[in-house]
Amino acid sequence: MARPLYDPTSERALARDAAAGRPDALRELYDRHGAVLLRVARGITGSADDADDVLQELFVGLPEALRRFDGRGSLEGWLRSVAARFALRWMRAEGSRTRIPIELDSGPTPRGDAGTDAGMRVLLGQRIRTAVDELPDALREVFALREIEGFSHAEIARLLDITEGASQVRLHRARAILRKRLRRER
Amino acid sequence: MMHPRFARLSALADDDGATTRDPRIVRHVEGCARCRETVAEIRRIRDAVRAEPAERPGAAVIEAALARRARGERVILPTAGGSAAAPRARARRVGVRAAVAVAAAILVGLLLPRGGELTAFSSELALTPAAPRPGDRITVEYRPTAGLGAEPRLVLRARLRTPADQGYESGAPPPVVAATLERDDDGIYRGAFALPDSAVFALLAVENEAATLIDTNARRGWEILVHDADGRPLREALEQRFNDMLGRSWEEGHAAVRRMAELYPDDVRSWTLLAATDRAVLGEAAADSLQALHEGRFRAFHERYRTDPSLDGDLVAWMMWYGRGTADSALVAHWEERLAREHPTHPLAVQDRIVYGIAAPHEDDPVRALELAEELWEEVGFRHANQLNVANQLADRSGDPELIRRWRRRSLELFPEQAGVVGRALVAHPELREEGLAMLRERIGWLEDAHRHRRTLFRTEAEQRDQYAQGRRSLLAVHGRALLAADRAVAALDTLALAVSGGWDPDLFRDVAEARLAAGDTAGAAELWAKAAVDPETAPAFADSARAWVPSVDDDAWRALLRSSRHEMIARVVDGSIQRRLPASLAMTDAEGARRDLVRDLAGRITAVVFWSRWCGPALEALPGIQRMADRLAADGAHLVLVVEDPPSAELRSFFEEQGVSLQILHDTRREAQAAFVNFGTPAYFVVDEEGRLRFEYGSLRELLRQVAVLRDERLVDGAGAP
Repeated sequence: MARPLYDPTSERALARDAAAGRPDALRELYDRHGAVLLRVARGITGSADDADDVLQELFVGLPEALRRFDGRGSLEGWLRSVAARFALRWMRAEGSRTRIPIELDSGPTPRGDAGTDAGMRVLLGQRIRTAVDELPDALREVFALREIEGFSHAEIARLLDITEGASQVRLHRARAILRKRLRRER
Repeated sequence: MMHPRFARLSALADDDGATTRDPRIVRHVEGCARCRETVAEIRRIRDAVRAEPAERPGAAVIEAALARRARGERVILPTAGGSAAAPRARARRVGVRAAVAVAAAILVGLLLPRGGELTAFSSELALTPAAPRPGDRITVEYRPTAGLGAEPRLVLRARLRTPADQGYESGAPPPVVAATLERDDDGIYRGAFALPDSAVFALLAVENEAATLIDTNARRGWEILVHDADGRPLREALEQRFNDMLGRSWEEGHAAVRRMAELYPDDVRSWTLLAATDRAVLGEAAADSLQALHEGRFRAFHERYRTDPSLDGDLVAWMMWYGRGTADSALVAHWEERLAREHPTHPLAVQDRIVYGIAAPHEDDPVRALELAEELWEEVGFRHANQLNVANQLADRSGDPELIRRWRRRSLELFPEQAGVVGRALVAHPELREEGLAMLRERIGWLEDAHRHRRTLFRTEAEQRDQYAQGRRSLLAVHGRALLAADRAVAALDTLALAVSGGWDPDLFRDVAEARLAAGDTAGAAELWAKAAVDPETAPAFADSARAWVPSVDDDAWRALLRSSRHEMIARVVDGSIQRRLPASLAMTDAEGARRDLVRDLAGRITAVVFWSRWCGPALEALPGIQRMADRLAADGAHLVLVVEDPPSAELRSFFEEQGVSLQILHDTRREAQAAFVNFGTPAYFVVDEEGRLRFEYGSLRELLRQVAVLRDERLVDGAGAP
């Protein structure tokens, strides 16, 4: 069967077909939103392997979950919040897993003057992922949800079952650590 | 010179207005190069993180996921509400879902309930004419069920629906007394009443004058559908029957719209509702096969109406709705545009405007969204709860007390029964606390005797009073906590004492105990900690910890407290129980397809019966918890049975296997259990005692542990409810 053409301006038909478990619809959904969902998973888990696993689990469960999508707000917004919830649950289930620390200085020396804005961006582009991945789980989760995904502190507080104040404190601590690490490398 | 702490600079770097800015810090940073650089650096890191291109995931991930699905694998995703992080949601249960019936208060030891719902299937209600026209006079003959036959007269109550009424019980006006039925010498009760001209559908129940016994016809009630001159039920009558079934029975609701589509095939509303319910009732496979039919129907309607310039707003809105469920988006867009252009104040258009035109594009800027919502409000006013809900969510997200007050006030004007909800929302903000407290007080006062004048069709006065009392206690707890937050400790403790005076909520006991201890009331705190400690949900270690918090209470006194708490728990929980005999046998099928008798399986032990469905989101989410509960109950010598409507299949077996489920599963393919338990939805929790009587109905998963423990121990307490 030829792949149906989903009108990119309306996602309702796509969501409906994906909810019915149609493989072509799920592939289309993956093409459209997979990258964003991978980013959510990567931000929260801090590991490319875990992020792939989370994404796979997510798509196994999506059709049933989509039946609970009430059409309020955007589909992508809903998918991101489901992905965030699931990635957090995944982290809690993984719990005590050990991660091999990545040597901070293992990458190639970045070009450009790290003292200028442009140089800083180049440097950050290459180093930022490692530095974020290295944050303690509790701080990285808040940092990723807030700075990468743009969730509000109220939303983060709900997701993590913490207070908004605690979310703000974790964000500040994450920023302080990142700033220190990235400065040290200059 | 003192530089602000990093956290303050970090907060300043959030330029989204989420944090209030301290002008002193702003001034300092303006004049301090070092701090300015820190803020800039925080923003650079954020911008760099956001600017990183999203990596595209490989095709292997989706293919692996699809292969797993094809093998029947499923993963239950957390989609909404509560925290995703905590293993258990810590959210407090607030009140009881309105749809859940609360059991009658009865005495233990009697075979027949003294008050409550009669479930004998022997009664008959005959209505003449059977197919009435609008405004017809209807005569009633009622042959009573055993419990009602001794009364000289009975009361016929009715939920009357007009074409404008909405779905669910809450979408219809409160029930009215339709007629008084007098007993004749032949033992049959007779009476008559005139249907209001506007009524198209009625649901009836018969009760005694004291409203202590109700014949609900096994919760089906008796129905009146108003007919036209040709003897067909009105389309509006079928639509209201569908609305009335929402929250009661999807199957019956689906049957109503199927009939609508048969009788009124040219009416787009019939097909819209049919498409909307096909999937929920017939399952995915059947719904998929009907998809082409609906697509064809929609195209035919589209061709018929596309060029008609004089369509009314309702018809355009229904076309849009039907299209959204069935057609491709180009066709739907035609109707969306038309509704927006020609009927911008139609409720569905208003809803679309606020959801898709205002809330969604300004997701990150609730204040701006509310400015636009304000304009829309001035243009059309909002008359539907959905529209106001969106505005209220935006206001909550803005965190601005003035906006929160304005929109909550508007909700309250339209829906006065929302006073509790609005009060709850307001007391969360210090600036709005007093206003919220006043609303809560008013609602709490109203709930005190509301059961006399506002009672749902299937509830006795006592059941309704219990229901309201539960809601009242929950609001008292909110009120008390808000007073505590306002440092009004004395008033807070008085209110909280009322909140814990009935019902059984260990979380609330603990909260109030802490408040009492903080106020110096050690004895009062100890009393509530003892209550929390004896609850089966509480970890055994809690009793020891709590004991240590109140050193002034000696060991004997503590033991006595635990003992009396235990008795009180039994009394309070038994007070909310029922006693209903189940039929002598209920034919079921086990996972291997062998015939089983549920009643025989229940005999001799306390059993939790859980109605569950593979096709229901909440049921899927509850499954791991149900398994854990079964394990805990087994350790206590009790049992849990999962009742599934679907027939046994290899696919279902492997699904349970993969979910790590090792429950006893019985398949209720003939729906005998569903009828006997009078159950309409999933997940639904019931408890049957050792004698095979149904004792708790429509409870929650969490409550099962307590209910089972209480049934096990109730004999120890003098064979009756009182300690």
